[in-house]
Amino acid sequence: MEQLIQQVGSGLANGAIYACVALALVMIFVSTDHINFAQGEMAMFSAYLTWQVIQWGVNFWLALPLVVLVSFVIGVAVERIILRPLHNAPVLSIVVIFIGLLAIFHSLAGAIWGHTIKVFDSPFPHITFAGSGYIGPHQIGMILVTIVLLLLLFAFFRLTPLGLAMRAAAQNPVSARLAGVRVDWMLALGWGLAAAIGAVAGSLVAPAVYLEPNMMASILLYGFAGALVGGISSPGGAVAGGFIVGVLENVIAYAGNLLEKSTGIYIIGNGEKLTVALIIVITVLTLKPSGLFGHVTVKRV
Amino acid sequence: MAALLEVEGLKAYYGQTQALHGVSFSLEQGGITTLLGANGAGKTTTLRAICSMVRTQGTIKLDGEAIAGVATEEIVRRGVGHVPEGRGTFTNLSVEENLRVAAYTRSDKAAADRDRDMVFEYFPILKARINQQAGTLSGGEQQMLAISRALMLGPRLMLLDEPSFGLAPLIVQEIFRIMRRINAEAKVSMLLVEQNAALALDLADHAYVLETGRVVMSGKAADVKSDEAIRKSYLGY
Amino acid sequence: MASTTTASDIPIEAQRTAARRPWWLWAGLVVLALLPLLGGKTGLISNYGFLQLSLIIVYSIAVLGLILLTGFNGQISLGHGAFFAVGAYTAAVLIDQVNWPYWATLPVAAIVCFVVGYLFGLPALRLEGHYLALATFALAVAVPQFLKYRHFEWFTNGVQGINIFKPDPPFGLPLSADQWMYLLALFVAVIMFWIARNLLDSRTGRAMMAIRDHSMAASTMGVNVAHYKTVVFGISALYTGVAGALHAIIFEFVSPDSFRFELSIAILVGAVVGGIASLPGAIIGGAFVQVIEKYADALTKKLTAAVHLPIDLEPWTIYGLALIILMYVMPTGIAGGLALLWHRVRRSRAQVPPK
Repeated sequence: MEQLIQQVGSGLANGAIYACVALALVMIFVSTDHINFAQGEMAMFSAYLTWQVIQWGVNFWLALPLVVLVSFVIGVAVERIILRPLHNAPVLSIVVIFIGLLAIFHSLAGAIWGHTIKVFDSPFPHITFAGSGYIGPHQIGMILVTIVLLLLLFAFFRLTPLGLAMRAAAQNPVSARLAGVRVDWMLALGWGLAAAIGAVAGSLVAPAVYLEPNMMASILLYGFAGALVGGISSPGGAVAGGFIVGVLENVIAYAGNLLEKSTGIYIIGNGEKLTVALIIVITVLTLKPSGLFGHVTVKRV
Repeated sequence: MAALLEVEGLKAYYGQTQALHGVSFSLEQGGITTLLGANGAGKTTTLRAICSMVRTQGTIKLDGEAIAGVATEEIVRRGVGHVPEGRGTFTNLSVEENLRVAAYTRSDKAAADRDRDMVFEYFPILKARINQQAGTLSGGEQQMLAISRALMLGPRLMLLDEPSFGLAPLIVQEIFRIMRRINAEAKVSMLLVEQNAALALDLADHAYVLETGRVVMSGKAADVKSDEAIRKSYLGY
Repeated sequence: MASTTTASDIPIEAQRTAARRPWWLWAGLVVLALLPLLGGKTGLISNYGFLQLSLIIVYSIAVLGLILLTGFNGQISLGHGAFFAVGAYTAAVLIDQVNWPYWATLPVAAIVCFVVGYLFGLPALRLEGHYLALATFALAVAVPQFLKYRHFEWFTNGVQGINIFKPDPPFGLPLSADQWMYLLALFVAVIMFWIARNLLDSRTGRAMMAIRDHSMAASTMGVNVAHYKTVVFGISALYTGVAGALHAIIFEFVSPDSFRFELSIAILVGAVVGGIASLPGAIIGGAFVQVIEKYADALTKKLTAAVHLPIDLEPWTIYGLALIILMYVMPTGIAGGLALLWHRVRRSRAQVPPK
């Protein structure tokens, strides 16, 4: 039982990261109908930036906002310079460009900082407390920071005029233009925000896994799974989906381990987590592409 | 008095297809002008062309300033409120949010608030439904919301695309009554596209008749209304 | 200016090779077939050179598989490495565990991969564009882990992989093993390209392309879209799988980590660079994949030195930049770009009034 709670706890912590990645994916999908395959590598690149700034002697909590800002600018630049001119191109071209971006961010990180694993200390105090048998301080930190981030974003979109303009531009670009909203810049802002969220996710997860260029590859897949489960057109759903996938991934592996311990039969365990994510992705896409909370788009002839 | 809107030799294209073949007309400050014509005559295309929503050639001047080729959102920011075909409601936003989006570009918040009060005065039903999701409003209410969104821009010129479409006659009458009030009280000039020629000719000062992308008749609304050919083709008697 | 040219923009005449195969195609094939004699015996091409050529051919077949699916049928796949892996492992397991002759493993790999591809094509029916890219992306990422699955270890040998040996040429022919592999690869490639050409020129090919261009219109014209899409998925997987099988035999080794996500990307890049809807493009693409794999490091180092960069650029940065630039400048790939150019030249020549 104790182990199960541990698994759920760490599942929630992982889920927090998946939720962030899923949210970043949804933000770009809702405004541009594109899936940002480079999201993971961009987040990883931001994590390296954070690490670098910390190496220069800056405290994590100062470095992070700085890197978030820089990542925001990078996101806006990518949208404006690379994607905007091709917004009418066929889907395959767009997908290829995303793969190109993936390759560039991935290899640039390797080129600038090398491929050896970097040590990234947790910014959260190493204290013991009641319940720290179940969940560590960094994991709680991941969950808390994620929740704060989500609340800030919620407030931004619900309460500020710019947030409202972005929502309108994503829902109905034509009507938004007729309201004077500069839709093109709203798309760029969406990209900037997605990159910023990714920076937070990457910087939070780096202390928990190893900081190296391949860090975000599987996390991206889990982020996809989370976004699909929750509904790739629903930001709230994506967040929920991220947490669900995080917990599910651990609970399934745990159940598999239990099964093996008790009956000796091994069906599934820690080595199959990616396969589980794959199965989730395919299942959701096949059975209910709109996810739990998303809506279905009807294709008109 | 210089015309508020001057259109000359306007050609418009949907892809490779040409929909307007050199349309020319003008609209005086403070006036209501209507564009009449059958389905496919190019009325909606003309409104879209004015807002750069389609590819155009030719001259479009707003208060002497050329706006052909300027981005839609910039034209809107110069004071053109377009009430589009199909209402263009933000269906997933509330009524209040719909109005707030439209006020996004207003720098004078006090003036925007005054306009909001004005909108609620014209359309009390919107105030009653203020927190309701806009997609759940009736057709007439969505039309009122669309007109209100255009008003919240504080426009000099309103373009209205078939406001009577799909609405019950009583609702249509009320909307047209309010449009007359808006024109008189808020001093908003209007370019009205309508298939319901009778209603349009009652409201407007001037009329242009379009046929397959060309202007075939123009004149004072009263004159056009009494014209024999128009009566037979568009008014049915 | 961004280019929105797609495969469907290449005029149909430019997409087909001449109805009667041009003489230089036959001549070229003869030269290629005689290469071991001409190049090998004279020492112009080393065994290593033949190995490289074989790999180019193998990757051309792999890229051809992807082109059939994506360029000619409009289904995006970021996961073709999976089918390459299945073909490779089929061949390796049959040779290593069941002692089959290497040539017999090819048809089996073909059938297995067709089935796998067809089965994947079934859920893929409901997916399009980004969603399909997403599903195949997930597939590509999960492949190594899938291959390491405990319950498969009894035949996959797990992380250690499987070692096999290149066969010696049959009938005591005076060829080296590498030369024989080259001829085998060439033989298989010629057959598979020939089949592909005929497939594309047939009614099936036209249905495939109709589905690519407007599947809704195609279905209203009576094309059984679901049937064609799944079958093409199967055929596409078959092609890439046979390439994988050949690769296993030539390379003499398979392991789960040989088939990481990067492989799927490499095949996609090859297809895009060569020409996403062009048979000759597959060959260019295959060459690109092999050449880049071999010389990427050296090329990048030269580039870094030439531009005096403070960091050591990596090959994938060049890939990424090349992909993006290509989508702007030549989205139909090298072959596509050449085809368009050639077509324009022919058209302008035809318009010159006779004197």
